[in-house]
Amino acid sequence: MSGLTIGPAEVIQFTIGGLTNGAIYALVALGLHIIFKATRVLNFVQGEQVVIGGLLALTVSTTLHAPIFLAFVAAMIIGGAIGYAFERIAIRPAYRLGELATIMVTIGGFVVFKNGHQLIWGKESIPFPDFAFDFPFSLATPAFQGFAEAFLKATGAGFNPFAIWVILLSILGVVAVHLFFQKTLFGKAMRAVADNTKASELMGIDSTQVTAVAFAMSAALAAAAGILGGPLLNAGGSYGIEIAVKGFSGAIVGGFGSSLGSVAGGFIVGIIEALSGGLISSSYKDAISFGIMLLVLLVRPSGIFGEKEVRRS
Amino acid sequence: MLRSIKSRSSAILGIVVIVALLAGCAQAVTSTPTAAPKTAATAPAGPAPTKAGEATKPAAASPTPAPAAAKPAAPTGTPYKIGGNLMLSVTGGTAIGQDYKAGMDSATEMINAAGGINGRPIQVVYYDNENSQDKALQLAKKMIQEDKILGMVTDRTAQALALGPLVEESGVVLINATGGYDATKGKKWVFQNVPREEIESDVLSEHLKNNLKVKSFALIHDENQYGTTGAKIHEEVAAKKGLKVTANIAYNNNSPDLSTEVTRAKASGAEALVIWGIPPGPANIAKAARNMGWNVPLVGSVATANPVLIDLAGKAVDGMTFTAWFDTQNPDKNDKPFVDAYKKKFNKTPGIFAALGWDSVLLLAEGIKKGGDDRAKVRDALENLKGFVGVVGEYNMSPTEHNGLTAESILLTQIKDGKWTVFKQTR
Repeated sequence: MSGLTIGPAEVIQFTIGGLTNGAIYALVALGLHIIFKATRVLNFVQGEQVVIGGLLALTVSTTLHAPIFLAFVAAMIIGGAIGYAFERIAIRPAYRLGELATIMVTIGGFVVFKNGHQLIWGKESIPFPDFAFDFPFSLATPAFQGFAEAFLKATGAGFNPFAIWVILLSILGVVAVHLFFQKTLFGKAMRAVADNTKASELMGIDSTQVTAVAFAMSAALAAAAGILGGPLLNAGGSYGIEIAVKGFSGAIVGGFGSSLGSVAGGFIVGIIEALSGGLISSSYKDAISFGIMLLVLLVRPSGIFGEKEVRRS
Repeated sequence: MLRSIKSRSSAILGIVVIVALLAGCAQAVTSTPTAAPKTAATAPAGPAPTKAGEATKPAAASPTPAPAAAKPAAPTGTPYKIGGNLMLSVTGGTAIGQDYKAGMDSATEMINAAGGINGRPIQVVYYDNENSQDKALQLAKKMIQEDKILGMVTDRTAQALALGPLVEESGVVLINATGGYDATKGKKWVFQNVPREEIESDVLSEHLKNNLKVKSFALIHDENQYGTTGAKIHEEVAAKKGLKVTANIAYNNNSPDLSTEVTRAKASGAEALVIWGIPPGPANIAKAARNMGWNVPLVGSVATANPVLIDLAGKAVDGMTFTAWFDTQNPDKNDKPFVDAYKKKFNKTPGIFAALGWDSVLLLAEGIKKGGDDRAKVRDALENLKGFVGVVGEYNMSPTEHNGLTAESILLTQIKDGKWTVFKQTR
């Protein structure tokens, strides 16, 4: 393909595409981070919870004719409840047997969740309505659309106005989670448990409750990713594992131990993927982004933004 | 210290598991156990006589003639069995086997309602090969030996290639109801009911040149086998026709945003964009192209022309043209029985995979009508089938031609104001 003329407009275009994908990866990475922080376990169910979140929102909005923002909230609550239940039923009994056993349980959970949603909603992807013009999104979408048109005129790079919603809302989610950890008592308790479970238990923190809430939060974030990604990915089908893997590599690149690091990592993976796909070849974009993940693991195992944890054995 | 080693090792374990899972996805092996046939087709014995009478109408237009009587008697006796070796579930990708099964079910129901074949019902035994060649082989042996099937249908070229030697050895007809690769080459028992991709590419290239009046186009294709093979053949054919392929780009159906791929296509300076893949990908590609203000003509392969495309892409695909085998909105008399039967049974517009399932059953039924319970005679009857019109097109088989479809079976369709229409030639 020698005839490609790639100028600044194309690079901007790649970056926008990368940011859109990255916003979804970031939400997944953040969910993985929260669970990792609380339990030191990698949750393989995350990707399927994204799929289930999208399906739940679709079902609530089409069968109950609920407005999309209500469906959005409902799917996050139901998704969160599923995450909570998963922790109580499957994770907690395994947790005593160690991290390895718990990871195995999440792999089992992956299969159960995947087959479960395929059993209920089928295996094919279902069209997800573009809700950019539904209330309350309709309040700002025309402005976004105007911006996108002006942007196209100015730079030659265009995008779906909905992408702005995806990016804005995922950043909003990230900020909310960050404030929760920094400002609320429960958030502080979660950080304490993550830092030193025994000591925090001695201080009277119920660490099992903390773990369960971590699973619920991360599942709710996953559901949000599924809904935001809905108009782009549709609902249902089998994209879950791929999204989970991208989120995981985002968390690794940015730093599994740091919430803002994981989020930044999600965006970084999205952008690297888009740029390598755009500038080199889309056939190798996965290889390139995973190569970078391995490189980060080798050079800086705690991730770009992760702090080194000092622990006494 | 110990702790950090532990968490490091869990991270490494994580990576190993991910790689294993991805490898698993590539091979598409699910853990769904499939011991027994999924469903034993339509009940052979009991459609109510009035219902059967109704269904005779389409059957009369269809190539499977009902027995001479105006009101066909319900078929009785041992059913003629055929096997569906299909991808009914899958990890990664779309379980297109379900669509095939829907088409095969519609055909079986129609034939049985019209009195069956030689007064006996036809029955399809379905098995889920999970898109695995090993599984497909194992199931094929079971069908041949235990179910005593008279012919088999498969929905993936990969499986058809794996099954080839087995059906040759066992002497059972196999219909490979997919494109992508000619699986009939040098085979006595293998038939195929998709126009060869070279033929489709030929029609598409002529369309680009003569109707759309472009000299170059960019090609975006699904990275799966269908997209890769199709794009390769299409690139070769188009080059022979004097068209310039400015870019040939693979996309991943599970990527939320495909604007990167579209940007590359746009940057190649193409005058048109040809999309070779199965929705949802093509819908996102069309949307991305329109969002970046790239308004060149969009053209899709036969699999892209899935009814769901309009729901997914809306205005972005308005004006897009496709190769197709039938017009779902205004089916002609050959396609009407199929479209009607499918709509009645499933309450939605059929796609091409259902059409392939339907044609496969009708072809085997034709073979069984002459060959009865004799597998070799079924094969001979199929091989000598002439002028048989299915939904895909007119089949003219011969000992050297086990596909028998020509460019005549391909028509051009267009999405206009959110509806499928036949493309109007503007020469």
